[in-house]
Amino acid sequence: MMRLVILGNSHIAAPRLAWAELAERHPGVEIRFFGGLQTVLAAMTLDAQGQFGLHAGAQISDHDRAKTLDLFGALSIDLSGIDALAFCGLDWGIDEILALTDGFDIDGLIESGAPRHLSARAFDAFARDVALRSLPDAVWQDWNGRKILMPRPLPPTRVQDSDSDWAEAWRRVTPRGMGRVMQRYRDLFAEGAAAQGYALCYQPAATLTAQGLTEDRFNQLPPKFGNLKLPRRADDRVHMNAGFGALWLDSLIDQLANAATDEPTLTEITGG
Amino acid sequence: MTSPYADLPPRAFWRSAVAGRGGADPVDLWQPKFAISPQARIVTAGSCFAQHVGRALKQAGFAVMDTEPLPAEIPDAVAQRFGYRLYSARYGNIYTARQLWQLIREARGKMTPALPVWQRDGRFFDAQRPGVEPDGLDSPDLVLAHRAEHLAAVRQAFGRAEVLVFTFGLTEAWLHRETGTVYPTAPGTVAGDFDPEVFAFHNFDMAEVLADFERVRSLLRARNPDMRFLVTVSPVPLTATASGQHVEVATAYSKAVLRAVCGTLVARHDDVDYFPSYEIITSQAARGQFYDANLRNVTERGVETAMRLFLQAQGITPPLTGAEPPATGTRGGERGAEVVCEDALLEAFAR
Repeated sequence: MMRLVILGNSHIAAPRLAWAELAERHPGVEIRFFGGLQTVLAAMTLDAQGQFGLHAGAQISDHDRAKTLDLFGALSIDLSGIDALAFCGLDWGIDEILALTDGFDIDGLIESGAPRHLSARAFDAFARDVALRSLPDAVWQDWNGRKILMPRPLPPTRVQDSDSDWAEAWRRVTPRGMGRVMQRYRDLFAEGAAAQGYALCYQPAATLTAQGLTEDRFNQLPPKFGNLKLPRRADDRVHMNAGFGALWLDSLIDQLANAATDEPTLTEITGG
Repeated sequence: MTSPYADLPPRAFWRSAVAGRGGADPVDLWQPKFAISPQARIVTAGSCFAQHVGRALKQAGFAVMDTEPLPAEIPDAVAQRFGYRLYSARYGNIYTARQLWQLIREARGKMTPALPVWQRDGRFFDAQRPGVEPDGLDSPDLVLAHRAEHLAAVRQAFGRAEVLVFTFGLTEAWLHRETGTVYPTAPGTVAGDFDPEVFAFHNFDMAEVLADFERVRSLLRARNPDMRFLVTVSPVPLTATASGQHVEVATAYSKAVLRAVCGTLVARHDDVDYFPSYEIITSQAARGQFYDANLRNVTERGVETAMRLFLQAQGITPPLTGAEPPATGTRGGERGAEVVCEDALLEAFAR
């Protein structure tokens, strides 16, 4: 039996919903989910006994405490004796990279008429710093066992129809041909993660369009997003559904079983 | 009997103003000729010590220009390793007035430096600012393209500035024999190859430095007649000299020339003021405490003292120490000084 814990923010909903259907296909795998919205997750700590969660003194409202209990049935989770720990929905800094490329073309990676140029070495240095700042807290560096990062999915194609501020950089991704930049950042992020003992499980290639964004169908959320009561808005262009979660979990389980992954190569994406 | 010294204030006498002040700050060392408004657009340039000046001004809320900005999320330590956030444009250290004059003329299309691209280990460097890309670029064309973009930023910085804060650093420089192009570093230190047939050592004298800065002043005031200048002299001694003199003697000459130039400029022009950071750091009253163990690098305390006096004289309440995380992108062994100093690379040739 492989015992896996997936910690995460709101993005945990997709694999959690999927697991209800998938579990019987993986009888040798036990998965437990735990986490909370980003603000709640940030208040969680790991104690010396391997309990991760909201401990005494956590700066959090009674409402959020109750919500955590409602969502996960407990305020903490026992991580002792597990085989692997996955961090789902990690903000891996890709938005910051996009913001950087808004103002700069990067030598050898992208030439789209941005007002200024950044050398490839400077980009690498800045991107390494973004990656380093995006990794989980230092406390996890000493964690004994397999650690896998599941970076936040790329937004769906329909993000380019959104007029929100957040979507601004993503609206320009396809016409600018960001494939090589994103692939380079993935490589640097993987380097930084590996140096701290993390493996990576990106969203599967099957969830991406040729333009490098997530297929819209994975962002079509049901009226009731399970019973997880996670925030859902009509214009949600961030969270993915159980279909997405199933593919992601399959990929993760394959990876943990040392099977080949289907990690996409973004340089092959049209417009890269 | 009367004496012209009879009615002078205590600050005019060594015994009371220096020997008698103990460890106290020389609060009346500098009486600014003009106040610098927090809204005045400031362009900073100069030797590595100028980075401290620029940083202190920024921390105090002055409008120090940055015409080649990076997103705020990128930490200073990372940005500064690539020459960002050191000065108002990404020109790196400008050690001589001749280089400053040359840069402004180049930015205005009035001159083109000779041998603009230097090479090292198959990588290509901007000879006028070899430190800003520590690993160099892929091709000479790329270096020139980056430089063209940089020159536009230089035009913007010097074209819009209302105050130039410049720290004179060195008198010694390396010139292209045929054209007189001056370089910030000796060829063969950061990049490039030294060929004595191509490059020549030059130790600028007072008349030359003065003339160079006068040209800078004229160029800038021609565009902005209200432009003002705050000049300083770096208290950091030479890392090495190519003059043939002992490095200590060469340092004394260099600083004396630069200090004399500043004094002359201040005497000549109402729009030029001199901030005595050099005197603060090197003062006998400081008993060497503002220098690091290598007797060259200025300690953080020395920098803080100088900049505190600057701000106090300008009527600004200095920000709390440590209000901004210190940069850690130090190169060249300037521990505590937290500056990027190409000339410190000359240490590599020390015997």
